[in-house]
Amino acid sequence: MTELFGWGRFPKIQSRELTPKSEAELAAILRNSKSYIARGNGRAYGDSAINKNLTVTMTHINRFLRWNAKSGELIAESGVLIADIIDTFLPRGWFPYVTPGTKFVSLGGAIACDVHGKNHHKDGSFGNFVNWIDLINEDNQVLRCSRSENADLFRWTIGGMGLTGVILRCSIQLKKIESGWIKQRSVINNNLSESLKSFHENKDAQYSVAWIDCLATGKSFGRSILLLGEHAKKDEVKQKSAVFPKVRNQKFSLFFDAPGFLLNNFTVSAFNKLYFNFSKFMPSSCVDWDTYFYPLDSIGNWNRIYGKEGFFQFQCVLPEEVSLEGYTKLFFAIQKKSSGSFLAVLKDFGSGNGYVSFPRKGLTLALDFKASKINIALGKQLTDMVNDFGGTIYLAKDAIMEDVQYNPTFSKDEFLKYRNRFIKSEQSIRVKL
Amino acid sequence: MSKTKKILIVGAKSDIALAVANKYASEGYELQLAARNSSELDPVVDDLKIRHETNVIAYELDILKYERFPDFLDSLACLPDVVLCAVGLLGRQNDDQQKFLNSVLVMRTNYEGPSLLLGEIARRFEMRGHGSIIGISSVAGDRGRASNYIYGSAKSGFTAFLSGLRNRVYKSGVNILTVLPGFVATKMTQSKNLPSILTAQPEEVADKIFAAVKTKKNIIYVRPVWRYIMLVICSIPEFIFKRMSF
Ligand SMILES: Cc1cc2nc3c(=O)[nH]c(=O)nc-3n(C[C@H](O)[C@H](O)[C@H](O)COP(=O)(O)OP(=O)(O)OC[C@H]3O[C@@H](n4cnc5c(N)ncnc54)[C@H](O)[C@@H]3O)c2cc1C
Ligand SMILES: NC(=O)c1ccc[n+]([C@@H]2O[C@H](COP(=O)([O-])OP(=O)(O)OC[C@H]3O[C@@H](n4cnc5c(N)ncnc54)[C@H](OP(=O)(O)O)[C@@H]3O)[C@@H](O)[C@H]2O)c1
Repeated sequence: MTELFGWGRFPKIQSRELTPKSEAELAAILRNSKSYIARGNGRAYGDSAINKNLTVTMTHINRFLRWNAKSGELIAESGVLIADIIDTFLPRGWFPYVTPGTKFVSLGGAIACDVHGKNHHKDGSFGNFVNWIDLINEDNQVLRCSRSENADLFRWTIGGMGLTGVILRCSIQLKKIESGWIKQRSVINNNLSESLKSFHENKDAQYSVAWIDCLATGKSFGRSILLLGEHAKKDEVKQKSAVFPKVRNQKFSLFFDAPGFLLNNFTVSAFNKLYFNFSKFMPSSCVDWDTYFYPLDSIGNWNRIYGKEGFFQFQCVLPEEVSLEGYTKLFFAIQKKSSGSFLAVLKDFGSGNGYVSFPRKGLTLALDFKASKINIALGKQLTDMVNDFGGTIYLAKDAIMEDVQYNPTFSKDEFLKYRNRFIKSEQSIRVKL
Repeated sequence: MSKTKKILIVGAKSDIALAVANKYASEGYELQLAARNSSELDPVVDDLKIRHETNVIAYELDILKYERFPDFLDSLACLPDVVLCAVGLLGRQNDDQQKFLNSVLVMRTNYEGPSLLLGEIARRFEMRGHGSIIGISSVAGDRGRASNYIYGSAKSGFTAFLSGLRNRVYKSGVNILTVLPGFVATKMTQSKNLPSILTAQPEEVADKIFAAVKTKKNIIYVRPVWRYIMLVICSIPEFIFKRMSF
């Protein structure tokens, strides 16, 4: 038995974990199990990738199988990490179309959560760039699923949280780019309505994300800074720089749980103030891909900053029409409990893939909370509010939702038709999915 | 013939071997991979080619078929610059001590096969005038213990063989590296509960090997702490040692 947890280090669950090294080993494991879940690199925050009875970790099934240097099609096993892909193909001028805020996610995890990046308003989510998936079904057969073959299973698998089957391998499309640099510019927004409007005004930007100060009150309520990015062309890269810069070195790594008091309200609000004063002077600049897309990846185990109790992330999406009213109420609720958050991020979603997949038209907010009793209660309260506004919660981040709070916008009965009976995660049991 | 440097990796399906293959390929080497049932290497070959855009060729080789060694070496596209032998068999001490034919397999796989092959390669390197040879032995060979002395004694023989070989070919510019990995998280140790501070990942072993070959080291413990652990274990007087259990 090993203690397993997600990126939030909450909850921690004793589980039997097996890490097969080959497809044959994997098949043998699955054949003999009646309750299990696949796990990628454990970057989901909560308990999506844990099953007490058996958690099958896929990170050693991680080979590149075929690469088409002309078209940019990559066929790979599901344990391959986005970090591997960038490491291998960026020097040849290719990058993932969609990437989450950490590069340490597996292809299986990226498909199962249908992850989104800062370009959802332009390109949609990860699933849009998946050509096909080889899925292991209930009878332990490998089924090829694509938009033309087993098409329904394909659609329910994208964003299906691993519940339709184990993703064995897949074909994805990479994007041709001229350099590994991003031209970044920033827009300061003094309050919430400005913040929301500035997304609207910058719809054409390739990448956009806002850092939002959820503790500011009065005139500054909902102030934010919107960071916009475009891929730099080859001739826009500074002369002395490498066109495709390498990954940054790890700055330092936390080997222990930091004491909880480091992150009380005071430090959080101080952090927010500092950040805002600093960024007012931030000039437009060219940033390397690693700093731009994965600012926290260079600090190993930064998730330990929240101390022993761990933390959870609250991420919701609200329909566009209710953004202003909804986020105003959410921020008020957060301020009332005064449980400020280290990272509050706002992103713009275009229309989604439907089915189980999380992204849908509207703005999405993500913020971290230390997993204290008060914060968990607050998280549940926020979830109720989101439901009232017709929004929904991102399962990849959730660790606290109760079953009655899970408000899927798809038909559970329809999902059941494609759901593998043997697959269960602690989360799927908790929210009755 | 291209000028790119080449490494021959024997026992190429081993997890340590695979990490070494990735390391050398990322440093621009071409790979010659030898293993038994070498068709199982096909996906590995594809993966390495895609990752590193380098030449990778797979060869069939069973370390117990000594008579085939010369033909195998003749069949290589060219004599490599570096050779690594990662073949090994831990066996199961409790069963093996009951059935001596099992013991024979462990002894031959860890000692005879690797020694004979690397000996023959050393002879060819000697004639050519350069080359590096890497043998993966084990700290288990430093002192025989009840729990794994069949494996340990074979590794001990292998370590001694490498030591003598190093001594013999030193003047001809051939370098021999003995690697004592300590615990490594691989297929071989999958079922064992290893203490994490003493256990290296295969990639760490590969990095250490690459650096050690470059600086022409003779013997390395992958995690230095093992040198001291073995120093202590080897200094226990025999009359006490024989009563201990580990
Ligand atoms: C710092 C940080 C930033 C993040 N930023 C974003 C972001 O910007 N956008 C976003 O969308 N997400 C984001 N995430 C969440 C993360 O991208 C997802 O949780 C992703 O799924 C993690 O991938 P993983 O390989 O670690 O999967 P895991 O966490 O191990 O698993 C996640 C889910 O995928 C399933 N799964 C994994 N592998 C397989 C497989 N082979 N077959 C079937 N099912 C499988 C699991 O069952 C589980 O349900 C972030 C996470 C972190 C830690
Ligand atoms: N892991 C550790 O803790 C540890 C510690 C000290 C030393 N070592 C040594 O490190 C080396 C690599 O081992 P590993 O840990 O990477 O384990 P591994 O993955 O089990 O590798 C051992 C390899 O030896 C191959 N082999 C066995 N008999 C063979 C034969 N007759 N002909 C050809 N190949 C044969 C196996 O091939 P198949 O795949 O075909 O079976 C396997 O690939 C071994 O010499 C081992 O003794 C390991």
